[in-house]
Amino acid sequence: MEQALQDVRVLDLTHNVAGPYCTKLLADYGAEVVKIEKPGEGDGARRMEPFLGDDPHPEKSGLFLHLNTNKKGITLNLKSKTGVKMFKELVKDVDILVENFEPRVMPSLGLQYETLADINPRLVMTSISNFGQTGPYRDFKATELVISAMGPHMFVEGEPEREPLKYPGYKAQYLAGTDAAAATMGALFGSRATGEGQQVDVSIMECLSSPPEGASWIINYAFGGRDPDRPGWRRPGGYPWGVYPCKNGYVFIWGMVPMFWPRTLRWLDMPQLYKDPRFATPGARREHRQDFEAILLSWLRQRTVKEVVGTAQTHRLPCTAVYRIDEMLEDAQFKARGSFVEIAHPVVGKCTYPGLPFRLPETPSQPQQPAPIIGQHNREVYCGRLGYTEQDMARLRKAGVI
Amino acid sequence: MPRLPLEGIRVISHGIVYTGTAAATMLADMGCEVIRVESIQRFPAWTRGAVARPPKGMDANFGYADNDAGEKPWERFYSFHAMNRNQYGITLDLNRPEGVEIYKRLVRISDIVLENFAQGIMDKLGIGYSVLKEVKPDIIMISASGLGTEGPYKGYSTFGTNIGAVTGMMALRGYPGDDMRIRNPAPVWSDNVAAGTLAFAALTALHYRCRTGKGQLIDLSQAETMLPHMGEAIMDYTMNQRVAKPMGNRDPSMAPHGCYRCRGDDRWVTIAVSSDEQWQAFCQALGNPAWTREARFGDISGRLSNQDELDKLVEEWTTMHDPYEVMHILQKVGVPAGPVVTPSDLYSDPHLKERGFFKEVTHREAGTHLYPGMSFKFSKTPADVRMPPNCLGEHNQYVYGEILGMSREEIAQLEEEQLIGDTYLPSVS
Repeated sequence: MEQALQDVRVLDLTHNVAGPYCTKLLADYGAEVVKIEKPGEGDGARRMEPFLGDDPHPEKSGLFLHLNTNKKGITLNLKSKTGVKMFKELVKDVDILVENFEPRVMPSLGLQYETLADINPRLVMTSISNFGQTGPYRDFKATELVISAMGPHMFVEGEPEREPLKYPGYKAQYLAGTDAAAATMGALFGSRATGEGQQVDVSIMECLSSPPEGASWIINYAFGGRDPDRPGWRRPGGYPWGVYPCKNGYVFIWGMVPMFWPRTLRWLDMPQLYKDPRFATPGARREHRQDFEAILLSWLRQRTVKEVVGTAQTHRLPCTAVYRIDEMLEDAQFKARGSFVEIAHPVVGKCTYPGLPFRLPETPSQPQQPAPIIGQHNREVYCGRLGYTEQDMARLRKAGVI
Repeated sequence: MPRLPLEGIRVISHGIVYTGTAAATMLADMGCEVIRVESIQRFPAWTRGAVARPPKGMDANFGYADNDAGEKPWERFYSFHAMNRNQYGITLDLNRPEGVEIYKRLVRISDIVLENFAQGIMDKLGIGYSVLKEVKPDIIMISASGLGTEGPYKGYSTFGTNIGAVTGMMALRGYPGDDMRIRNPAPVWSDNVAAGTLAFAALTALHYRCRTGKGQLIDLSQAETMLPHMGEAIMDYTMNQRVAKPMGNRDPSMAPHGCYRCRGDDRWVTIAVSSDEQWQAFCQALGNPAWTREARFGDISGRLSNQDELDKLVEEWTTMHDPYEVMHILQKVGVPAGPVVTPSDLYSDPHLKERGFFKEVTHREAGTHLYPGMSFKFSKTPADVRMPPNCLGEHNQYVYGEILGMSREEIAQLEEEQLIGDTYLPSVS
């Protein structure tokens, strides 16, 4: 079946989250991605939670399985001379190389962009790292928590009297992988047009400070001269705004600006509150927040999330369910749109995964192929692409190259 | 200047608020000729301010350049300036047939149309995909809505925070053991995700068109762009039927791992000790105080099960230091640590400075400031701010004159009829 990026060849030297998400996007839209792992231990994500049945087996990490769909997997020891030579052979006929080592690693292997560009001038080499390929923090160490702290979001998250709060999971790394995929496609377009590739340097720290949101927090300081505070869950502005409990779960309502007040009263069918002096003006409403919340909470307690969201939306009030993961997987909209897919894996079996982040009507197929078992495509790639024989393979295996 | 990679690709952007706007900016940074279409008849809330002309009074100037809304507040609003560089800005009244006709002339010579209006607006204006496809058969159109333009909840009204709520992110964002009610975030993370994904979608569709000559309509749901970013929590449920709970700043396999108070007012540092070697280095950097030698902290399982006590002891040390000091002390010995930064910290950060992240921009109506830059650096065709964020209708002469070939008289006529202009009509609030 035709796919959008089927004519794009990618060499994937990534591990953990940011790099693999970038190449997952390319692979899921049809690029031929060959993922190179260290013989034996493989990608670090193979040792990251969650594991099927909590068994820390390298083929059972749900994170790894999710991030590496539709890729081919080979092993190669880049610390051996033969390994480096083989890598250079593979670089010859690819469009894109993505890596997310610490910036000192590729040059230490003799695989800096300039060297690879001599072998393949049209190569787009995307390098994702915590702090970028240059600058005083280049070799600093970071984890998701540490890098999150160094963007403008974390300081404003959490309760004012408590410590700032990191987002759940690997949000910073996923975002960098997303931005890197877009930038890689831009560079590929240029390379196809001119025959000349280049290196794309993506710093996770800079992704956090870029448009839309990071840049908005930052420029607000340049414009207004004051840093934001950490507002916490109770905010002084208009309402209804926030997370509210219903009969069987929670909803989130974004009704902080005055235009939503009349809609709210129509929704609740409480026209008498219009003229109630406690709620007649935005200022009065601010003072009588507790009175209104008492009314709203008792109204919500008698209704299900579904009823609340459905009726609020008919009045064009931005109200949605606050899903737990299990509830989200049952959401009617996601189900109807095919937002999740089932993929079968030889070790883990059939399982539901997040689907494509968007579908192309011209090439609608969803990810089908599970993440590779470590070294699964060695024969296909080394024999098929590089012309090695079975004897060569045995020799390379023995020498620990693959 | 070297040729930028996407030079020659023309994009019509109806980006409002964050998602569409930031995606268009990314494409513009890489060289697309982005034409941003606005109108003097309609003020889309939260793009150039909450309202076109904020009422005088307390806080009316907050968010505006130099705390002054000025004569044309819409040219001085912070979040508009965070994006929208490198684009041509035109105005056009798409509610009138004459406007739609001119718009179609522009579509005829464009490659990509992107919009994130409320569901159905483009169709109502008579410029939905079925119409545009007639005008330009290989046009790529991307409609980015909250939950998608198809499906039982199509047309639902959502803001970014709602997207966090329906994708499970909000329920997981919290301190361990806290109440669901306090989990509403300050920022709206999903717009960052949707913007990057939208730019990727546009270029993927463009790549396909280059090979096949075919355009298409992409119905992009911002909620769906978030789902892969929730991958590990989703997989834990589908593999193990385990419903994830908020972990705050903790990690299942690292300790110490947290955010610790520092010297100063509301100053914090993050530390993540990810191996036994790092733990040794950490203890040494602190001068090996007695508690670091306690047996209960001797290995990772001990540190994980005594985390509350451990965190208190770590914080006793961090409170004696500035967060940047802690970062340097620990990074020197190879332990991951970094300050929880505020925007003013970022402006004085030596790393961002050396990498040239901030760009000095002079804007006709907003003055000169340092603007945050791009999330990527190209080695041969570096992105820069070629044009400041556009003023309303700033490039009407260029786009209608140079690109569409209209005469000065024709353009003057459009102004006369208020099809175009550079100031919101007095009736616009």
